[in-house]
Amino acid sequence: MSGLRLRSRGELPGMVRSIAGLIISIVIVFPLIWLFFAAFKSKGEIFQFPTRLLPLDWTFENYKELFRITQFLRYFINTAVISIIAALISIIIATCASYSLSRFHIPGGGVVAVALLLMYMLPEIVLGIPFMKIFLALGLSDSLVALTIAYISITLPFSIWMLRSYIESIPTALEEAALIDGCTRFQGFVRVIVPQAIPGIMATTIFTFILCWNEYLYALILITSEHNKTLTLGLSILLGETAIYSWGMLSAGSVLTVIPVIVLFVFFQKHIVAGFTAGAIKG
Amino acid sequence: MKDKTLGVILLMPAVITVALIGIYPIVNVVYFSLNKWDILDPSGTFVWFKNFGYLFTTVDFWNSLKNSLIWTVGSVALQFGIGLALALFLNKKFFARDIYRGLVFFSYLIPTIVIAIVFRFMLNDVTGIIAIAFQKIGLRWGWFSSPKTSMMSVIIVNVWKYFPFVVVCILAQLQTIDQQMYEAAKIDGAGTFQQFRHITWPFILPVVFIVLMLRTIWTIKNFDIIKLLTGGGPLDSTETLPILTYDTVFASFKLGRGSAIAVLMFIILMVASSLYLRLYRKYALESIT
Repeated sequence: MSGLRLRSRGELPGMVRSIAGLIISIVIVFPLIWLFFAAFKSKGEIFQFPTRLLPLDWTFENYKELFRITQFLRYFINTAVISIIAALISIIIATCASYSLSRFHIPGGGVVAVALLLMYMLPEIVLGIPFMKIFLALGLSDSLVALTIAYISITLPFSIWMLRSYIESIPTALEEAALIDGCTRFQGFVRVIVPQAIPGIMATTIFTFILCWNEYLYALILITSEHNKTLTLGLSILLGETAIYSWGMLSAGSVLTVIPVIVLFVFFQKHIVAGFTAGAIKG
Repeated sequence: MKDKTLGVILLMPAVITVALIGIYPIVNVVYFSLNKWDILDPSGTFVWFKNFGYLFTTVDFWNSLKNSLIWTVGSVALQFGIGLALALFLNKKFFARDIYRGLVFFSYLIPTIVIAIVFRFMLNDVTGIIAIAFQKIGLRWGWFSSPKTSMMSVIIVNVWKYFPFVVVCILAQLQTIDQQMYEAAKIDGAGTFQQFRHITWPFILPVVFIVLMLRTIWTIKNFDIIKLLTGGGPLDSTETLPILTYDTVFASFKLGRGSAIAVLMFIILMVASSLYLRLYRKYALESIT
């Protein structure tokens, strides 16, 4: 009897939960839905009240203006190239390092692991100041090469942090079997561990790609010329410069910036979330 | 080739990279902070800890420290409260739950610039749908443009972006709880709150610690949300330490003083990170045994 009473008092029926879930989801996605439709509204309509979600007349004016006023395509390509290169370089270094840290007890290995973690916790501005000076001295100021190197300082520690727990979860028995079959340790790594770790490697690569795609501070510090700007930097300058905010154009830029992230998220959602959680909470 | 040699070779690229783009820049910034720099003296004059001493006499520094504290405590507390509630909710069974579980991580991955644009759009008092909705019920807030509401507004955006982290970490842990424990508790007559207090909470506590530590570290060092929403204003009301550091070096061109703030932040975060590391290790050991 008391069990029945408890159930009816303490637990919501499934229907109520689903509705609550729906409301929460709307809070999460509403800002982006608003942005998406605003990108197709005319200037007049954006400033019109009462307002509505869907555009009255769909227009591509905002997109046209965006490409006319800024070098948006250039920003997009810059961001994509830098993000891919930074993600690839760091995943290669990180896969080797993670394997080494999880399987060999090298003297000093523990120190390296701690240094990597601390680097991941570092405020970007602490590295940003010396980066500016160092790249200036190297003749690399205002270059995409400098920005890629700066991004690796974020993505490499992150990749190792995320991948190490993944590789540690792969049973050693598989490698041992390969060793017995006459593989060298290195062959065991390349032929057994790497294929086993592919889901983790994929998730990490995608996550670091998104980190670079979204990065703002280093781009702000290191990049000055128009043709080297990234999406975040280009849009932030547009946001600051357009005195009477051209929300339609900014919305259009935002939509184009966010689409690749959404596509990756939809396809790799489960892997990304699982891999990221493991990195954060499992030792 | 010996195993250890292979291990060293595989680790080498990472060690070299960290040395070149982690340790070397840090040594540099510490050096900057101990020197006085200006246009007439571009090579710097060694002044020991003068930059740090000067810092403690400025209003800006103490104001930023205070703002950083409010920003961090406010954001982390709200993210944690909302995140925990949602994780518990998403751990229940209901229709389409898995879709919501997937969706909840969404805002975490959205570029901050996009978030800044959409919130400045929706919260400005001329065209902003949310600002106008609030005006309709008598709340004429300036949101980002008034020093009274600016800190609250940037915290709301920060919470909106980062609460998913709390949800996914706690949810992952909740899913590993043996459901039979709840069944047994119910038979013993334990109510919902007692079940939470005696089964759920002790079980998720290690993750709670880790999540709080990580969120605190990441919130202290966060730069782009505030920079893009308010730039630290109005009237320095949202100027946190990273923003002050940036402004000192890149707007006022005081390399030494700015570097001194950066070094202080570095020390604060290293202390926090060591704490995180201890929790992480303690928990890792617990989960093995």
